[in-house]
Amino acid sequence: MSASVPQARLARAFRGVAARLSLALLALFVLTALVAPNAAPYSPNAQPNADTGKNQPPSHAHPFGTDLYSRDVLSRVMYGARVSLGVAAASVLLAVVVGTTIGALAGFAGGWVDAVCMRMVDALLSVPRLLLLIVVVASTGQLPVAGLILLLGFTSWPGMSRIVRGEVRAVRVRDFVLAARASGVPERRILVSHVLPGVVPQVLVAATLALASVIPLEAGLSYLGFGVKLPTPSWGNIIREGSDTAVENWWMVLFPGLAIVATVLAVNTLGERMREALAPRPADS
Amino acid sequence: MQTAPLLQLRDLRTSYIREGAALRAVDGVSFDVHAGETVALVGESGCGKTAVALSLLRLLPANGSIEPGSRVTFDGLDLLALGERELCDLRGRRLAMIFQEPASALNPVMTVGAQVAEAARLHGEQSRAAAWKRAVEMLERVGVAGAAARARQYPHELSGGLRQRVLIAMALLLSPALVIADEPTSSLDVTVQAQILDLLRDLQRETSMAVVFITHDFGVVAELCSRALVMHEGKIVEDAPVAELFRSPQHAKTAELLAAVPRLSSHRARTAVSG
Repeated sequence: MSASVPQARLARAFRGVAARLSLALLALFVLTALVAPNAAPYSPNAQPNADTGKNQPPSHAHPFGTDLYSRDVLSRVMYGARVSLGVAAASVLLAVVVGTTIGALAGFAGGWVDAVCMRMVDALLSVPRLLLLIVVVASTGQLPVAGLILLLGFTSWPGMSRIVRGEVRAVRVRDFVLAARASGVPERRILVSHVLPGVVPQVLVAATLALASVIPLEAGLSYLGFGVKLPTPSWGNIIREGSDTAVENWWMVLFPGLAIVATVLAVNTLGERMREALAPRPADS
Repeated sequence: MQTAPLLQLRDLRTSYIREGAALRAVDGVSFDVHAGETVALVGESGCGKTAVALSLLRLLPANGSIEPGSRVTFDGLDLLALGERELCDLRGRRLAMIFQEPASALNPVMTVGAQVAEAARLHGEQSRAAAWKRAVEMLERVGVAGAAARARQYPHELSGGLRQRVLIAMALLLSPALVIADEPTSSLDVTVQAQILDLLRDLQRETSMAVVFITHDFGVVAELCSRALVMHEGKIVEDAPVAELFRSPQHAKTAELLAAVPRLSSHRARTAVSG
């Protein structure tokens, strides 16, 4: 039955209104991020009139209003998508690469390799992540974007490696792995071409959920002033600059805030759907 | 026999560690298999048949080990002394195995053609296209109709009988000298079983490979094998030509196993018993 193929089951996750809506929303944000330089109405750092143009509520010329330096909030949110989504995607990619490698090695080799890797993961997971991030940033000073990606990525992989390890351990004892060995396939090739492909769907799910946790984390760090350096806009940065006068100038906080909430909600919805689609159920097997 | 046996087992002992305690699954098994011979390894579930097969291929799980003092010689090679690299070279090319469960012994995310072609690629076939062509030819030979199209399908798109044919194609692709068939028909329905057994017999005649047929089905034994080894609790309790075994079982366990067979499938088995 096709239900037994994880890839086919994963496809079921994208049916239904909520999933479609989430996909559409994400596509919109990603597109916005990609075309921001061409599509944004203003330059994100342009201060056309620092005296009279600042703190303007939403209007026809500035649909999201202007900030305390008279910059266009819409343009900043659009450019912010580049930074926020880019940092999140790159750091999750890093976490997937490191987490899959370590998890696959630990799960496939077993024995002391497994023990060493997993104790390391336990140790890393035992430290609250935000605390770890703040301690690192506080001791190194504000990081460049690449540094932020590295930092977020290296605090994401332990969870990922646990999932991969568990899956690899489940797949490596399957009959088809034994059958491949019996036809002379060497160990390394068994891992790469027989075990890992079976793990891909679970990694995709884990990556999606990791994305949903990294986006607010980056925003939180930026809000606290530990994230992306000003004046480069990220969603967290924009909120930070607007937060002092959030009650009077609500538009500076509301729009980037909505962008964060919508993205996380959409990513989480898709992640949960994928997780459900892959979960074993009595009708399969 | 005058010629040296293809496979020689002497005092094979295999144990598994389970919850700290060692469990001896194979307890001093010795037998020979000559080139071209079909030998049945019969016994109840859990008597150690599969452990013998996995020991031969050196594919025991991590908690299983072959005890010192065991000797396995195949084709003049001391199998227990070989390194992983030599074993990989041997497996699939000279020594192959057909697995029991066609549903789980095929990788669900690989096309069946790719799985058959993999062995060809590993053992010398230079180009991907040549390996693929060879895989399709082999699938044709084991009776997969429309092999070229079937090769591009995934296991879940095939019936149980077809999947078993794919597994046979995988095992026989490189004309191994010895094939271990671990209950290759036990999960198939009866008509398909008969087809697969016929196929195996034909292929065996064509290629003169030796087959160790692991089964608990005496019908299969009578149909295919010339000699049977009866296993009980890790030991071989009887080693006799099939006709003799059916006529006058020497060991109480053999008689018991024979008595337990519901006879419908094999005409020859019936005559053998009454005769």
